[in-house]
Amino acid sequence: MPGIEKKHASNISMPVHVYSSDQRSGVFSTMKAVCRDFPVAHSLGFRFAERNIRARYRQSILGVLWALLPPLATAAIWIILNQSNIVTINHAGGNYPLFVITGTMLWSVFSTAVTTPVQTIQANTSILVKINFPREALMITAFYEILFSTGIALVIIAAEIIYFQVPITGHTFLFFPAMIVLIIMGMCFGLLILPVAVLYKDIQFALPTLLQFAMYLTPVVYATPVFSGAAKILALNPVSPVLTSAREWLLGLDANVNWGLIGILAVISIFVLVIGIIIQRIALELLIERMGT
Amino acid sequence: MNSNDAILIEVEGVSKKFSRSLKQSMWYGLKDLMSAFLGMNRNRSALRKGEFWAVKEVSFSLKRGDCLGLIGHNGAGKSTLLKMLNGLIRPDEGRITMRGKVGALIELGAGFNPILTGRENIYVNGQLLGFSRKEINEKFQAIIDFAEIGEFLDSPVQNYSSGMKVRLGFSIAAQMEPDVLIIDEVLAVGDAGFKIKCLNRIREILKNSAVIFVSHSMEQIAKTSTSIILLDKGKIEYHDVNVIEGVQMYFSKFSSEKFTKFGDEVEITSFNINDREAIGNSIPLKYGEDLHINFKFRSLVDLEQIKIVILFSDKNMHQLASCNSGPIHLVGNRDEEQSVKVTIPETSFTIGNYGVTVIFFRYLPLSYQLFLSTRYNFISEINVKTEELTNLTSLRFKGIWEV
Repeated sequence: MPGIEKKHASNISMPVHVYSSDQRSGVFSTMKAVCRDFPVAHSLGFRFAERNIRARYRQSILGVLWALLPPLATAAIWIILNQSNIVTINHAGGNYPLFVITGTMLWSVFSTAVTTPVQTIQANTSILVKINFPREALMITAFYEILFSTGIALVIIAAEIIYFQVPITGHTFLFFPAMIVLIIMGMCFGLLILPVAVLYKDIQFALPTLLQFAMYLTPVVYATPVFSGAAKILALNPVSPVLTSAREWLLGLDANVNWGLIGILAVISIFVLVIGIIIQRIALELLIERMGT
Repeated sequence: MNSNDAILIEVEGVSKKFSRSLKQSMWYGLKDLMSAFLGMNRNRSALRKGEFWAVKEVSFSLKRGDCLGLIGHNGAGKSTLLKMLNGLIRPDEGRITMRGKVGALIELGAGFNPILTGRENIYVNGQLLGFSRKEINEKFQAIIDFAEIGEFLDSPVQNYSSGMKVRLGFSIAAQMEPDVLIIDEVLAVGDAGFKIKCLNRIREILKNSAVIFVSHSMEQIAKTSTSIILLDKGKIEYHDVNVIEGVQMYFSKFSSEKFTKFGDEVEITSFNINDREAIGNSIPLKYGEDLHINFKFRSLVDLEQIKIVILFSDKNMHQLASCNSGPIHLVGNRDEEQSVKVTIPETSFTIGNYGVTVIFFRYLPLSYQLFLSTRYNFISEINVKTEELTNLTSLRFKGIWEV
């Protein structure tokens, strides 16, 4: 390697790493470190996501369709229940299949955003304990994987829009920022449970059930009830306004969208996301020593 | 080079504690998380219930061109120390300063996805090791040339042989040009030819960096290291530039069963090497020294003629050398002690510990056949001290046998 001598002859700016017990992991120093590592973390995280997606679908015939099956199945059940009059669902008028498919698709975007960060960390334990790379890379991987499955959901949504001939207005496009808020919100939850979920597998076991439960606490298959007692509980659910607004904008039912609330939720979500990223950075360093080899 | 005297690695009083029980470890983890988020300065240097020091008060420093051999038994704290040096976990006490680009040869082919092709995996693994995409493009040809994977480049890695996988992993890692290199037991991989390539590449890197190197192969440690640390229960037991002495101490720490025996026709009553009781003891030997073996045995059954073979094997129980007697006619009755003296002149054992196996064969002169009778294995017997490092291949010693 002829390059070595030259490189070492001029070592003016050698990077220095200090690892010591009395380093305090402050919020601002961690944030600075996150920003400093971002370019490397981003390109590595993107590469990981590309690898995962390629590998995942190379061995399956139906490929990406599998990701859509659970939400579509849920939608199908509710369409059948509704059309056979077994249950009567208040869905603010309009086309119920359109309403429920959009709802379950949006919910699948949210729940993927919740589960993917923890799953990504779990899947990469072996390299986390052996190789020193910017840990945010895995969060970026999670982000791109969420974007990918969102993309698939969007294809379905686009298909139903075309099939049911939903008119496209200026408000239709407000759907996209609302969906981004939904993704950020999901990732916030994912990042906040991450430290405990890595230590205690209970979280991982409980998550699918909890998400299923949460889906029925959110107006996914039904519209927001207006004057019932349940409405008070549902009003505390931060996902509800974002999800319903996204749907209402898309389907042109946007008579009662609370703009202010959506704006506040968006700002809070972004703030929590930043906190979540700092938390995962501080947490992972402590968790790696408990992960074993 | 002008930077030869710059200290690249400085380790000052580093300690790390771990918990023995998983449940407790999880609970402490949760507590540590809470205090980290609340910004509380927890007392890291106090042991909580069920914790122990995996590494305790380790200090050393290395310059460019230095190679530190880190040895110790399983669980001595070597891997924990490496993880701290690599920045994976933070010390509970003390301070580590690393100057320059740090490379680690710890896990070859980490993050390889079995479904993806070798080509795709080169990019993923390369980026994981810190190369940019552009750098990988530049080094791509060098990587595949080094790995010699040929037409398998575009096959999924799951179709590779295990040797090909590590070869590819090493080839990517070998492109690093680090100032500080951390090597954990992966010095040479693949078949004999590839091993030589690995060692040559590592030697190139050694010249220009400070290296910390963990291995259980004392031969490798002795050949490459400029200084040595012997860890025992997390503490430095020996730290010096006298590598050979450290290796000796490492070997002397093995405590094991004195011998194993298969068959019960013959019993060895005493076994001396160079006038010292050899079973279960360590016998020092210098390179080129004669080996005098005296032993007594008695047969527990009627054996007319026997042949005795003495085998020497390394710590992996690979047979390295043997020394055969001719046919021995047993003069006395059974149960009577027989005395045997063997002299092996000018032995050429390299540094290390060798086990001795004695096999008694029943010799039937009419059919010229040998039947296994009794086999004795002594573990870690001959302890060779030498400055001379030779490769011992399987060879046969000519012994002078007197019965």
